[in-house]
Amino acid sequence: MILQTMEHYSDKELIELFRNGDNRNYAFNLLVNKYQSQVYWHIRRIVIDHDDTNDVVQNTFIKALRYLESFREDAQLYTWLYRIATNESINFLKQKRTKFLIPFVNVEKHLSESLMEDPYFKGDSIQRKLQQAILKLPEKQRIVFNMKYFDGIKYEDMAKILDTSVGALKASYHIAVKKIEKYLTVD
Amino acid sequence: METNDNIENENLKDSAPKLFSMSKENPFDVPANYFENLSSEISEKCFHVYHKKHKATYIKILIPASITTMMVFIILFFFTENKTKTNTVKQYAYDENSTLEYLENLINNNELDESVLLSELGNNDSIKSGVQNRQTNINTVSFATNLGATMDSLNNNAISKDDIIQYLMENDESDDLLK
Repeated sequence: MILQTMEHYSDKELIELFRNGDNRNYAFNLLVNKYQSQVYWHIRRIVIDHDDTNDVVQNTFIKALRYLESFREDAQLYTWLYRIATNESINFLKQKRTKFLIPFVNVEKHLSESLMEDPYFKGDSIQRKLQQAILKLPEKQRIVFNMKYFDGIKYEDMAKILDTSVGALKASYHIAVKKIEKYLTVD
Repeated sequence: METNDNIENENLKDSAPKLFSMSKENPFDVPANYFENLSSEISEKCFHVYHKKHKATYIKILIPASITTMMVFIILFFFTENKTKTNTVKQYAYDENSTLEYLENLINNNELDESVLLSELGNNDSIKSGVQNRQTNINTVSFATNLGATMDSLNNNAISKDDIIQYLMENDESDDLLK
């Protein structure tokens, strides 16, 4: 069997290759290469810090490896990966609250302050202000806004990722946009 | 054809002009060659964790199975040991009874001096008490009584065990007693 290059494998072919057994490692490497960037940036927008993002990305793919064998192909692979990534990110932030004993301090405020000193933030002051505005949103609303505004994910796919209705997602996004606009217009 | 999402975006542009005028360029950065190395790092960690979990599962099964097997062997060992001891005791008891009977016959037939018997009994309290407790023969009962009296007199005399044994060896044609 001639193995194709990464770009030519569809999600279905990757899964079949993985379940074949002989090419399990190779198939998983292809999957990681295909989705690592998307998954990374999705997580990075949630947890902000690069090192934290790196940890969550690895945890995400470890979990994906564990459950890929039983993956039901009624959902798209990328929505499935996004779902794992989102849950891992939320769990990470919960653990961060517990670990650093900040139950009464908004963890997002903590992330906003760390953004000021982040060596891996290359945006200008306006970009920084936008990120701080996004961090003021409630956790899930923030995730909805990022997926819609930056990634352009369809509401139908987002509904599968977040297990929420399309209507609720639209409403959440609208509210998020208005809040951010208000924050950006205030000096 | 305009999609619903595009229509929606157009509507939001009117309500959030500042937001939609901003560049959507990614403001975040990563260390050099991060994505080039990421896939190999992930694969290495993934399969290490995968094999570690399977190894852990294997050990979780192996340790209880080993402990259970050891316990079974220990129980079987002690069971077998007790059975052997019981057989030994029974055999010893059999030997004791037959020994007592033999010695009684010797004494009744005047083939064995009681004092010699007493000396040979030595510290063997079980045979001594067995002799004392035997009730099947009147001679045996009196024999036991005489034994006790003889034991006392023997202890008070200066006759040594070696002397008695020597006597026995010279006068006993059969070696049964010394066996």
